[in-house]
Order: sequence, then structure tokens, then C-alpha cells
Amino acid sequence: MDSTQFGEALSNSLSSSSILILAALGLAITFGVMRVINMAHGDMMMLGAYTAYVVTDRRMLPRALNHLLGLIGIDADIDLNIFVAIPASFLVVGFVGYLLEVCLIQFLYDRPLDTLLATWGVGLIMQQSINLTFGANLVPMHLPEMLQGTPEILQGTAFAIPSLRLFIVGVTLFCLFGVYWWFFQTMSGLKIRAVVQNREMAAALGVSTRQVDSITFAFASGLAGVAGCILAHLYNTKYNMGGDYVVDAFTVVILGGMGQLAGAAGGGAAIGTGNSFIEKLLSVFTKMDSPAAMAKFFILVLVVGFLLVRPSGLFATKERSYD
Amino acid sequence: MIHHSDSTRTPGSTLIRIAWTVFAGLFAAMLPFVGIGCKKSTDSDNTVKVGILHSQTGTMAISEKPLIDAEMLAIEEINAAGGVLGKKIVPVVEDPESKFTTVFPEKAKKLLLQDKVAVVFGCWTSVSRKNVLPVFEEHNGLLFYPVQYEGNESSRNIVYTGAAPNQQIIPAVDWLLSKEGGSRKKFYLLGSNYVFPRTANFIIRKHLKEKGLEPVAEEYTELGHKEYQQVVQNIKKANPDVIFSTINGDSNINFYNELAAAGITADKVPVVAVSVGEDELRGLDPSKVKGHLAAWNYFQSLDTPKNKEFVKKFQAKYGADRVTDDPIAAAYAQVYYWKIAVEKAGAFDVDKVRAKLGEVEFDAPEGRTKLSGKNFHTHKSFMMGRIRDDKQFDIVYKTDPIEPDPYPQIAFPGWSCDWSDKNKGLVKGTPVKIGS
Amino acid sequence: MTKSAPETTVPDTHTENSAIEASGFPTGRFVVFLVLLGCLYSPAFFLDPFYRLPQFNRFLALALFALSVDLIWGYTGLLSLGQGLYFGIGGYFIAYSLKLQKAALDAGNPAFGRYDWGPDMAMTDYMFQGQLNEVPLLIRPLINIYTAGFLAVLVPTLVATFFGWIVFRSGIKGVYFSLVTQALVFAVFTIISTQRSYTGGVDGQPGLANLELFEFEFKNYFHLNLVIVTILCFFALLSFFLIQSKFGKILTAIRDNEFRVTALGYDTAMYKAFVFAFAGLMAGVAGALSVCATKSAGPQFFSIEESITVVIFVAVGGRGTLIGPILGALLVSVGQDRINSEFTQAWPIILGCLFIAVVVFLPDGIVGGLTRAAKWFNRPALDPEPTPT
Repeated sequence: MDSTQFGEALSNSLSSSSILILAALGLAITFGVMRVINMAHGDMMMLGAYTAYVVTDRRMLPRALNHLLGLIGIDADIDLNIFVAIPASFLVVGFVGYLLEVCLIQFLYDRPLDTLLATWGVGLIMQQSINLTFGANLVPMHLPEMLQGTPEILQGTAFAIPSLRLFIVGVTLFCLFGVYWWFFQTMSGLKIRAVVQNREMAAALGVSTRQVDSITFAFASGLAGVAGCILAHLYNTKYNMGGDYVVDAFTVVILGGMGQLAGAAGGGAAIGTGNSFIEKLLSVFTKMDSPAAMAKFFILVLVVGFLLVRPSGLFATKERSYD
Repeated sequence: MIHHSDSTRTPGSTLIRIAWTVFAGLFAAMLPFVGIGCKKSTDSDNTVKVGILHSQTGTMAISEKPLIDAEMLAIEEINAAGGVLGKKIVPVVEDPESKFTTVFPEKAKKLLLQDKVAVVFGCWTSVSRKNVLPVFEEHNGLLFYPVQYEGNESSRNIVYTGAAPNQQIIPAVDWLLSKEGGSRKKFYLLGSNYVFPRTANFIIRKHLKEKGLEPVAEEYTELGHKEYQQVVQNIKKANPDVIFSTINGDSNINFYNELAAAGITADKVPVVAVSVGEDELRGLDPSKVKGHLAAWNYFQSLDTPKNKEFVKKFQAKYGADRVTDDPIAAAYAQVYYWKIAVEKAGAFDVDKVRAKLGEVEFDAPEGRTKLSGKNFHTHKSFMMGRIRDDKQFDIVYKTDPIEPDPYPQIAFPGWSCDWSDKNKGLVKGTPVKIGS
Repeated sequence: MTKSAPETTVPDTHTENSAIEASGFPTGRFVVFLVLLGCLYSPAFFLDPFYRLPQFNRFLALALFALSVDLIWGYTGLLSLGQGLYFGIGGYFIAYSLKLQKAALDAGNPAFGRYDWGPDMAMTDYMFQGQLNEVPLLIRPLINIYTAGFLAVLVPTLVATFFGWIVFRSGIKGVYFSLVTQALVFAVFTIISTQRSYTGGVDGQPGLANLELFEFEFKNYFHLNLVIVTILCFFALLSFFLIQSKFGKILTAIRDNEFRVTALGYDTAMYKAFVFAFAGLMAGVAGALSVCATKSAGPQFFSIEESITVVIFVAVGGRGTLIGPILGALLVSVGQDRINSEFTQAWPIILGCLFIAVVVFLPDGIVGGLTRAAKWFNRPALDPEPTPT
């Protein structure tokens, strides 16, 4: 493996890791912190992606807005892009998450395994609703000029990371720091942590645990929406795209360790880096004709093996049992 | 633990009452479905049932749903024009849920044995076709299959209305080798890891070998693969003249996105795809795929009156944003093939219809087509299209209709098939190893 | 087991009148159970033999699969999201056998009978298409259906034992257990769908030969149905006695309060590993039967969706009951088939609503709900309503 290949593997790692962390961040809160086995996480990402589609596609929201403005006599040509879609996805999916928590999840907090079944059902309903609304076809996404291609200074080097992928790294870092700041630097973050550690005591001290639960779940869902919105621009967008992400996201969270935000980052980085390097090694040193799938297999086996040896994951919490 | 906590939490009988209401409601809701199996066809004298077997849910729904639309359009037209042999066609649409090994054969059996359909239009993937094939052979059904496929198969019970390998893959390679196609020598073979790309690449390798060439690489990714960074780096390193892509389904979007982001454009290294049609392009930003090529036997942009009429009718029925592509056009045409064969036979009986398949000729959207009585494939013209800004294709090359051959001799020596001659049938040569 | 554990009265949450039943064998329930199992023989006599019956056979195999999940989830509290692994292994062994037999029959080589193996035995189509020159050494003996059948039972059991032993030793429980099993089955799915030459890849192994046992070819599905129902009844009864035994009581106790069971001196990991292995065995048999019924096998056995579907059968039917998973598997499968024929598009929505309704309103499934309802209607007239806690 020469230096170019090493550099390529390194840049692939950076990109893959950031994508995994972004996809898993919402789940790290709903599952890792709140212990809700949210099988609809992937479908929330799908909702985020479709929100982005509605917001950015010229035939959808922009046309409606232009039409409305036209009615009051303004000849506008509004063209919305990914930068508008990100907050829109956050709000829309966050609201969906809020509704889900209030209508369903709140009744199931003491039955974590049942949340799995119920959210699986929710996911099915979301998928089919989107299928029936938008059709089963793939949906196109439009990237603004500045996020297309590869930055010129990186072109031709081993670190030729496309602009969009660099942008994803940035968004991931922003989200990570945002969540960190919210959890550890603000009063509402303190309340969340208090509720997670000891619900009764927190309630006794006057924290509205219901409110904290709803807001946290909504926020985490919003993060899933952002992830979906961004990844829709990188990968394909379809009504059943959630299934592509949900297993990866769960794997990242349990590898990193439950209840730890650092865990999601660590787990994502470990899987992303491992995957990229194994794939690179396989494609350089073997004649295997499908290295990507083999890399995925090796990584999953390594993760399972690691968890058998160290069930608490990379970043252990101070709890004694994990169930 | 679950039961324990629950039984202690149960607040008296209120919850039980709610539960009972819902439970009873569920059963009441299911009641209407109890007798579904025993539907009586009331006026069977005036109707004929046909089966439609395409996934409407699951992974393949994206590809297969438009085919149902096309088939329904054809059925509607035929019914409006008086039906077949004076009988109206009643479609029985079944959803095999993209479950190839379990639900596909079961639904095929249901259509043949319970609904007693005269014919089935269905399937997309080779896996599903191979799973329903024994059912159709056992119960002597007739399946019209509208998608291009890998060849190396022949059955008296399947009519292949998509392209055989010698109508799509081989002419595409020939054109790329020709001066007009850019005299390309370094082929990068990239496909999804299943039977169609494997066989297609095998045929390409054999064909190139005959010209004294060898592909620079052959690589596979799983169906639905997302991350194409590594593949694109491999492509850059191999520096091919052309990428021959047999990637199937939505992975194509990821692949083209990554290729565009890495700055590999069509004027440097074009991608020739055999599974990317107008319908797949709907999910792509046109700026990323402009100039790349696709090999098919039909394009929506085909400038014939018959095609324009078809596109117009399709869009009028399903929306102006809908597009047609090769499998859609084949799905539409195959209903007419069956109608013509039935009318020539004067009966719906499978054996009688089969005997007349060789006489079927039709003005399909793709041009004048006819079925081969030998192997029940379709005579088709090959076309090479270049992707435009509006996600349509410029047809850069078009041949005369090519006779279909499921067993190209360069790849499958000694194999042939002629169902019109009772003494021949399927002639098996030595089994062929397809691996690299 | 020589441990002289005291006869503890482990609280059985399902039989509120356990005080009466704890002393003896629940004859009444056993008879009802036998009658219900006996009913499974009847559909074979009136179902359409070509279409409905093979489908019913597949549903029965799924019922056995659901029973295995119920044993570890309903009774022991271990929710496996990767039970498809054992189902798939069992299924693939039989599929190899029938596929190789099919290849041998198709090749028509007179020197080679249906069960003979050697370096020049007929290769399956995917092996031809792959890079192989001959049938791999390890796969060759599988052409013998008895060898394959034996391995289809043994290997899932061994894998489950090995995996269960490590998992339960390292103290992985609850949600962690579910997700580790899920990751494992996903890993196997990846490798099965990649290794085309050896496994058939994503195309799987379609077009299998008919099952032939003791020179009797199961050409029609009626005989196969009898075999499948009998095997299902056998395992259901075995589970019944297992649950009734002291061993079963300990499993339930582990589910309800593992800590207390440990404190009483039991090695809970051993118990869990055993029941997990037993469930693995049952899942393997279910997979084998499913392949015989559909004459096809594919990597979706190992898909996560498949494993979750079975969990849903159990949840709908009633976890912690033995008739529940069987009923759930049959009802949901039949319902899916029927509704899907009528309202194709709406089916996933109906299914989703069903899960949510079951989880929220009927946490112990249809059977549990019926039991509760029966008790509610039969409550003593003057018994005051229990005060809500």
C-alpha cells in the first residue's frame, strides 16, 4: 500500500465516519440516552430527505411560494436549496418525532423491547404513506454549485474529497458540538441528564419529566431529519431508504456505548475507518471482485466480537449492567 | 419482566375493556376478507382473466410499479377496442412483495390455479423469474417477461419481450469498439453482484477476447450498495476508456453522484449502462449524468408516430412528469403480443396460443417487432442513447431488428433452442463456467 | 443437575391461580393444547392441494420458527433479532442437498445416483457460473439428504450454543442482546449474498428437487404437510413439557427477575444458553421444513426483516404462551396474503397499525388477551374490582 492509497483510505475514512456519525447521532439520543429502540429512525431520515425534496425541488414548494407571491403582485423567483432544507427538515421531522413521543412512545418507556415493535410499525406506516404520496420512484436532489465536484486545491491529490463530503464532515462536527453544548452547557441539557439518571428524583426536584422527554425525542428526531436531508443529496432518495441506515446506526451506537455522545462519535469513527481501510487493503492486495461487501462483513464480525469481549462498548458508562 | 410489570400496572378493568374493543374491532375489520378465496367470476363468458405479477411493495417496487401502469394501459386500450376474441380482459393484480423465493412462486400458483388466468405478465429480476419458472412449467402457464436479461435460459412457458444478450450487450460492445463509438479498447466492467451482471460480463469478456482484448478490471458491488468512493478510486487508477456498467437499481444514483463529484465526466470516460433508463434517471440530477451512454432497444425520445402516441397516452393517464423507458414499452407491447397470438389461435388455451407466437407481429412503440417462434424472444433493434440535459436520450446509433438468441455461440457453444421443431427443443451443449 | 436447590415457588405471572396448579400437571390446559394442535391436521383435507396447501406448509414452518422465538423471548425474556440465522442455516443445508440432487438428476449421469458424491458429481448452476471447477469438498456429502438433515439440526444448535454461551457469559442482556444478534445475522447475510459460487449469492437456490426420504418422494404436498404438522406438534409438546418442568419455571423466573434467581444459586447463563440452543435447533428445523415446502432458498432468510417478522408473529399471537406464536404466525401470514390480494397498497399500513395496536392495547397478544378476558368474564360476581395501583 503506497502513500497515495494510504491517503485515499484516510480520506475515505473521514468521509465514511462522518456519514455514520451523522446517521447515528439522533439514535444515540433516542436509543442511547432515552432507551427507546427506535426502529423508525431510518424512516425519520427518509422523512427528512423527502422534506428536503419538497423544499428544494422547483416544482414543489418554490413554485407554490412563487405562485403565492404572484397573487399579491410580487413577481418572485424563489429557489430554495440545501441550506434552507436542513433547518426545514429539522423542524418537520422534529415535529413528527414530538407527535410520535406524545401519542405513542410515552406509554412504552418501561417496556423498551416493545418500543421496537411499535416503532417498526410506525416505520411501515411512514414508508407506505410516502410511497403512496410521492410514488415508489427515486426522487432527484439538486445540489448548489458550490457543493458540486471536488475543491480545486484537493484535485489530483490523494485527499481528493468531494465538496459535499467535506460539507458533511462540517455538518457532523457542528451537530456533535451542538448536542454536546446543549447536553453539558445548558440548563435544559442538565435536566435531560438528570431525568435519564434518576427519573423519580428529577421529578421530585421539580423537573417536568414529560416535557423533557418530549423535547429530547423531538430534538433527536430532528437530527435524524437533518441526517436524512444531507445524505439524500449524497445517496439516493426513495421511500424505503431508511432500511439502509438503521442497522448501521444501531451498530454505531452499541459499539460506541450506550448513553455516551462520545460513544456515537467513537463508534462511527471506528466503523468508518475500519471499513475504509479494510476495503482498501482488500482491493489492493487481493483479487477479490467485491471488496466492499467483504469489508462490511469483516467489520460486522469485528464489532460483534468486540461487543462479546466488552459488552459496554468503546466508551463504558459507569453502570454495572446493560439491559 | 414485561408481563410482570404490565400485570401490576394494569389499572383495573379499564384497559381490558379498551383492549377488548380494539380486539373485537380488529376481527370485525378482518371479517370481510374471510371469504376472499371463493370469489366467483360472475360473467366468465364475457371476460378473460390475466395475471399481473409485479412487486408493489419492497425493494423492487421502484422498478416494477411502472410496468403495472404500462400493462394496465394496454389492457384498458384493448378493452376499449372490444377486448380479445370479444371478451373483456380482467386483470388480476398480485403483489409478490419483492420476496423472490417465497411469495413470487406462491402468487404465481394462485394466479394459475385459483384465478385460472389465461396468461401472466410479470417479474423484473432474474431471481424472481427463475423462482416462478418451475411453477409455470409444472402447470403449463404462460409468462410474459418484459425485462432485458442475461440469456442462458429457455423455457416453453416464458415469452421474453425484453432484449436477449445479443440484442443489447454484444451490439453495445461492438459499437464502442467501432470508430463511431470512439474505438475504445480499455473496458472497465462494473456490475451488481448477481446473475445478470455476472453472465453479461462473461459474455463481454468472451466477445472482447475474440477481438484480442481484455477488460482492465471486473468489479462487483452488492445490490443497493451506497458507498462508491473506493470504486471510483479504482477506476481512476485503472484509467479505462469506457466503463461498462451492469449496476442495477438505485445503486446507479450513488455511482453517478460519486463519479461526478470525482470529476470523471462523460467526455473523459463515458459510462455505458445497460440498466439505466429514463425511469432510473428521474432520481438523478441531470448535470451529473449528461453525456453518459445507455444501451437499450427503446428510448422515450424515439421519433416515431407510434411512440409519440404511446408516450402521450401514458402521460395522459399517469401524469405529465412520468416517463417511459425500455421495460415499460416492452411491458406495454407484450399485452398486445399476447392478444395477437390469441386472436391468431382463436382460443385462450396456452398450447394453442404458444403455437401461434411465432406469427406475432406488432407495431410496438420501439418499432415493428415480431416474436421468434423458435425461442419465444422478440426481434428488436439495438439503440445507443446519450443522456441529455432533460434526462432524455439522444439516439446516437440504431440497428435494424436483430434476431434474438438466448445462447450467443461465443459464450455458450453448442447450446441452442428451437421450440418450433418438436425434435429439437432445447439442445444442451457443455455446461459453461461463467466465473472470471 | 445435582444442585439441591430449595423448592422455591417461583411466581408464575401467567397463571394467577398457580397456587392450585403448581402442585400438579395442568391437565385441562394440556387437553386444550392437544386439541388445538390436532386441529392443525385438518386444513390439509380441504385446502387446494397445489396452491393453498404448499403455502400453508410454509406458514406452519414459520409457526415453528415463531415457537422458537417465543421460547427464548416469551419465556426467558431474551429478544433475539437474529433468529433468522438459525432458520437460514437449517434451510440452506437442505437447499444444498436438494439443489445437488436436482443437478444430479438433470445431468442424468447413470453412474451417479441421487445420493452419490465424488469429485465429478454434478455441479449446481451457481457453482458452474462461479469460479469453481468441482463441487467444494465440504458441500459434496450434503447431497445425501440424511447427512444434510442431520447437519440442518446440528449446526444451528452448535452455533446457537457457542454464541449463546459467549454472550451470556459476558453478561449481555436485554436490548444489547437483541442488537448483537441483529448485527451477527446481518454479517452473515452480507457474506451469504456475496459468495455467489458457494451459496448462490443474492439469487439464492431456486428450483430445488422434491424431497425424497426412505425412497419416498414427496411429490404432493399432502404428505409433506403431515410431516410438517407432526414435527410442529412434536416440538410444541416438547416445549410444553419443558415449560412445565422445573427447568421451565426457572426460565420464567429468569425472565421475571434474573438477579433473584442468581442469588438463589442458579447459574443463569447455563440455563439461558441451553434454551437459546434449543430455540436454535427449532429454528433450524423450521428453516429446513420451509425449504422443503417452497422448494427454494434465498439469502433473505438471513435478512433482518425476516427475523423481526417472526418476533411480530409472537407478539401478535401472545408471548409466553405456546399456542400464541403458532396462532400469530398463521393469522398474520394468512391475513397478509388475503389483505395483500385485495388492498395491495394499504397492506403495510394495516400491518403497522396492527403492531402498534397490539403493543399498546394487547401487550400479551391475542391469546393473552383472550385469557385475561375469560378471567374477567368469569370473575366471582361479588368480587370487588381490584383497586388500581
